[in-house]
Amino acid sequence: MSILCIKFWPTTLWPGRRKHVIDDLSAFADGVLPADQSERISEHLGHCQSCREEYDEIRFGAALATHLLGVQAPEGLWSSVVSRLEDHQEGTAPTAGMPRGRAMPVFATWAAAITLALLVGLLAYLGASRVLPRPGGRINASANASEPAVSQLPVTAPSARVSAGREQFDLAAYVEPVMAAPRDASFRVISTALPRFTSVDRQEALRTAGLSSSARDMAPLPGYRLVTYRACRTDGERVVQLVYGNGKQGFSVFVAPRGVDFSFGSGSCVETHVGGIRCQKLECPYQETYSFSQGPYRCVLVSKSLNATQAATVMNYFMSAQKSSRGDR
Amino acid sequence: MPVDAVNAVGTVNLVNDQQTDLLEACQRGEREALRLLFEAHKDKVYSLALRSTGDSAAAWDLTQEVFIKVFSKLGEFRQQAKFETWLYRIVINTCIDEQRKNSRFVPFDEQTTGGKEVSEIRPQEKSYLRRQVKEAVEGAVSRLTPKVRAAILLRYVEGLSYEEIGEILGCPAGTVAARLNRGHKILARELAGFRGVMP
Repeated sequence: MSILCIKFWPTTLWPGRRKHVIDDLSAFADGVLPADQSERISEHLGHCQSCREEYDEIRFGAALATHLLGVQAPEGLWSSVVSRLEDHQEGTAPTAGMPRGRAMPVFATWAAAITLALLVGLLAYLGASRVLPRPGGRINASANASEPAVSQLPVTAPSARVSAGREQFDLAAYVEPVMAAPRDASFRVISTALPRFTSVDRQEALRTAGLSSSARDMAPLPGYRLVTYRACRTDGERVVQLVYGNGKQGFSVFVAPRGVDFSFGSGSCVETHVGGIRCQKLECPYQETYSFSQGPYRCVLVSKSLNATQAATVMNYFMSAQKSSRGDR
Repeated sequence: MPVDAVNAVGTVNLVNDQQTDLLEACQRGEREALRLLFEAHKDKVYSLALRSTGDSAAAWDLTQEVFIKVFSKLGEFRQQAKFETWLYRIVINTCIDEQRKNSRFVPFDEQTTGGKEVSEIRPQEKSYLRRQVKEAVEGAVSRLTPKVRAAILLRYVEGLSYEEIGEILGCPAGTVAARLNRGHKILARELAGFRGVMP
């Protein structure tokens, strides 16, 4: 019958039996059509089974869509927008969509102040780094028996792939040493002697990772302590790696600003929940790799020894510390 | 900026004249004006970003990205146009760009009820079911094509008319209707398991 009403009934002879009205059904259900059109559709639905079924489906779909509600933006967004604008003013990470060299007037004065502060900070840092030990450097196993042994195996330089104009921080190069570690040590402390790496001061590393002053002396897991740390820059953003160990086993946490995308070679990534924490599990051999985010930070936990509960504890530790750190400001 | 525009809970409701004044102050680069503009629109931007991505972390990023674009392009905005239309256009385009960038990542809420039957719903399970439907709908919407998703979000999250949506998306109201049609049908088919039990 529905076929007949399209193909065989001339609309001039039987106006109610015009062609199907499928395209207008959402607007009809929403009551936004002019009265005459609405009446025509109503009449058509009265005799066309196929359009009635379609209408029933569309009404069900529309009813489902009403479950989409607006939400309140979380706290702290404004300060993170301001922070991104300041970053832009520093010229380190041009933001997509923001024309180069086109500074906002309101932030122009901030930029000058920030640049000055950065210069002072940089000078202070350079001065300090000459006298402070380089904690991110190679660790001698004999210096501390509880430290994991350091292998001399070559380490592939970290790579960064450009994806859609944005660099991705490829973890594959960092995870390789984990795979090469001896059986009795689940990870290998990585030397900082790689082209893109720099040693950083402990305070600097922890601050970059968004760990508040109260969290700095604590460890994410009982028995573990911060063994080493280092940093590099990708796409103008600083990525810091914190390595925690308990003498035999260890894990790494990479922390970067939200703008940085982590990848693992060509491995794919799936959404998952670990201990109730929503995160992305990166597909990589021999170890568990979870990507999680808190506020302006994106983090990746890499380990081949932690179980799900421990991984959740570590992620929770970072997320809570980063949250309270932002609250401290 | 009139003080009464900021209500007790800190959200900002602006009438047209106030918004015009505010935009002019923003274009002059007044920091407080920028903050007020952010406060006035942050919820709608975040809502669209969240419903578009299905991921609160990504929504946080997108909201930041949108406001950075808005602030940096405010000089180009002409008051003859409606600010909301201009803002929504930036939000939708930013969401589409973001999806392109992250297309290899699996979206959240991949496991929905799909075509499975949801049966034996007791009254005390209604609120649980409501949440389940909400999450399933959000997941299904985040998997729609960008154009269809934009129409659905602007209609249901923002409550805009077909004409307003058309203006934002740069298409006639008839095209908006067709996209909504498509979106409704996809939702109905993907979430057919909720038919008859939906709270």
